[in-house]
Amino acid sequence: MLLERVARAVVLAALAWLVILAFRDRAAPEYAVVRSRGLPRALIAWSSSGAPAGVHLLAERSLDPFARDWLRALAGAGTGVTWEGAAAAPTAVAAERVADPEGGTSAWIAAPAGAGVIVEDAAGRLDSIVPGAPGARILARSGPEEILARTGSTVARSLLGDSLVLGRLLLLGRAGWESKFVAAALEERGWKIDARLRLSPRGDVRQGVATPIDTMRYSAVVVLDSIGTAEALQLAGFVRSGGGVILSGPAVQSPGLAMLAAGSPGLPEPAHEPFDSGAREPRGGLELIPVAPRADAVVLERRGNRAAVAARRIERGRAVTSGYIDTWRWRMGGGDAALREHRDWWAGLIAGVAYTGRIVRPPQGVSDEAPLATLMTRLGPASGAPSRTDGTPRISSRVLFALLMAALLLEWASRRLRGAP
Amino acid sequence: MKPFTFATGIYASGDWESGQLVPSVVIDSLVRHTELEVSPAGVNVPLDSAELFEFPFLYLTGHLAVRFSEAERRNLLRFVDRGGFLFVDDHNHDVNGVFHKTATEELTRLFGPLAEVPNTHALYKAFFLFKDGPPATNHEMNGWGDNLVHERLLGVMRGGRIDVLYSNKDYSSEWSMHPESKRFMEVDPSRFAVNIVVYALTR
Repeated sequence: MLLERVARAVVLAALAWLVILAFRDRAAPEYAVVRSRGLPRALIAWSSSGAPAGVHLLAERSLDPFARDWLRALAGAGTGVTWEGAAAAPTAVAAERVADPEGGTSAWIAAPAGAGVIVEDAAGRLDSIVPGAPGARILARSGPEEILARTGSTVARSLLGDSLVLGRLLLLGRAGWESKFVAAALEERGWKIDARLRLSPRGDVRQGVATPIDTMRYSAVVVLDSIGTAEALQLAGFVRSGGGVILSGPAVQSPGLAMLAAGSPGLPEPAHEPFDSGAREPRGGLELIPVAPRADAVVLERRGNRAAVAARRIERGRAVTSGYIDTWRWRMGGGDAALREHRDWWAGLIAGVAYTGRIVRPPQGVSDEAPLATLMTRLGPASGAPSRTDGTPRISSRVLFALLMAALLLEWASRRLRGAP
Repeated sequence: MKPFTFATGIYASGDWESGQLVPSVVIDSLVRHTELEVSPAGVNVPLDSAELFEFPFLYLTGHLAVRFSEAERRNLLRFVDRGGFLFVDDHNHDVNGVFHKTATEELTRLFGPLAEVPNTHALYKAFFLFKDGPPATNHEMNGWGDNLVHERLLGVMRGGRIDVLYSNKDYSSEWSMHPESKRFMEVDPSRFAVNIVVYALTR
């Protein structure tokens, strides 16, 4: 009799446990191990019939950003999510519009040293590169809306949802060959130029309307020589409010512009005479006022061990100091490509500092600039599968069912053996 | 910083050196009227040399026939392409003189046909105002030459900007004097040279 009571109790307990299991599994199914190729289907299933208590992802390839964010949402909703495997090669890409009338998109790409990276836009391959330790930079003149960096199966994608509005440039200083040729180079590039050049006591050479120096009209100001105190103060305000300034040549030595300079002027190095038109680095032959960079400045270009070009931020704006004198000699007397190189060099300086308005459009897709870094931010670092997803003891429903049947059989056999109905 | 230097072009044919007093007169006017940094003396530069590209303002003159060598042509073409300004003045006082005919032929061969520079062009207000276009020279007015006042200058223009300025008004004679002589004149006759140089430096 006692045995039968115990068997009935076991049956009732097993039945109750099975009922509990049935409800609990509906709310939180078993711990799931999923491969990345089956993840989209699993995510859909978990969204419609309840997520498992824990998910472990075996990532054999790069994850779709949607799937990654979905997993993060699961984790946020209480599901334990872990992952392991080569989810993504450490590849990153960041693209931005270039402040240049010729347009273009500049992309910085980082990948493991020596890894081959294929750079693409929506239309196809742009380039193949092997980035070094500091990464690599490419310039796509076609100005694509997206740049993709592909390392194996990992695809980093940078989307651009904006376009730039360029203002004019203002040239300040003294009338001379440098002002003429700098203006010519930048106009050839497509910039609209205003100029205020000192010429005589009778007056200055003025091109464009006389307006205050502000970001409403100007993207950047190029100062080629010393300027008046009032103009220097106006210029400082312009830079603080986001405008760009380039101090070039003798302007580097102007005490009134020291507040904007990226460094203090050193002892001038004379030009190499005669100017060598065939030199590999034609700027190397120009006269130079070396720049001793400030602590907050970045050196952009060196000649030997001296800084030739340096840049710094000033509140919302940027300032570049270039110590080269008479860059027009490079344009006039340089090699066959000098015209283009001189133009490109000046346009590059301007692009580095120019203030630009932006027209923001909704991006056509989703950026995924650093897939691995984002994955780790969302889900934490890779780890092995956890042994359990929670601390409660678990008994399989099959075992429970077997136990229930065994207890029923035992109870029935006991009753039959003692002749009870 | 290299100052403005008045450069006279040396070409193999003809008499390139016929305007020897012109540089000092032009330099004098620039110093008198402007704050430009100016070399105190001009230079003579062979057209076929690399030195040409050190002096983006180039003055050519002469009385005789001009025939450039291939090297001179190549350099002149490159000089103008790079942004150099070429000022050519016929030192004769006659119509269709040999310099005019041959120099314009050479320039046309290099840069295409010369066009008339409109008298409203920015050149005539680059510094001093010349409402009626190029100022007449004494040689045009006093009958020593062809008894004609050339109403306009010629030029090679790209997008309205003058790259090559050609004059058959004989400014080379008008500006051939000792600079000190100008103080006895009511109006500085080389004021137009200031316009040409300022135009070249600023446009």
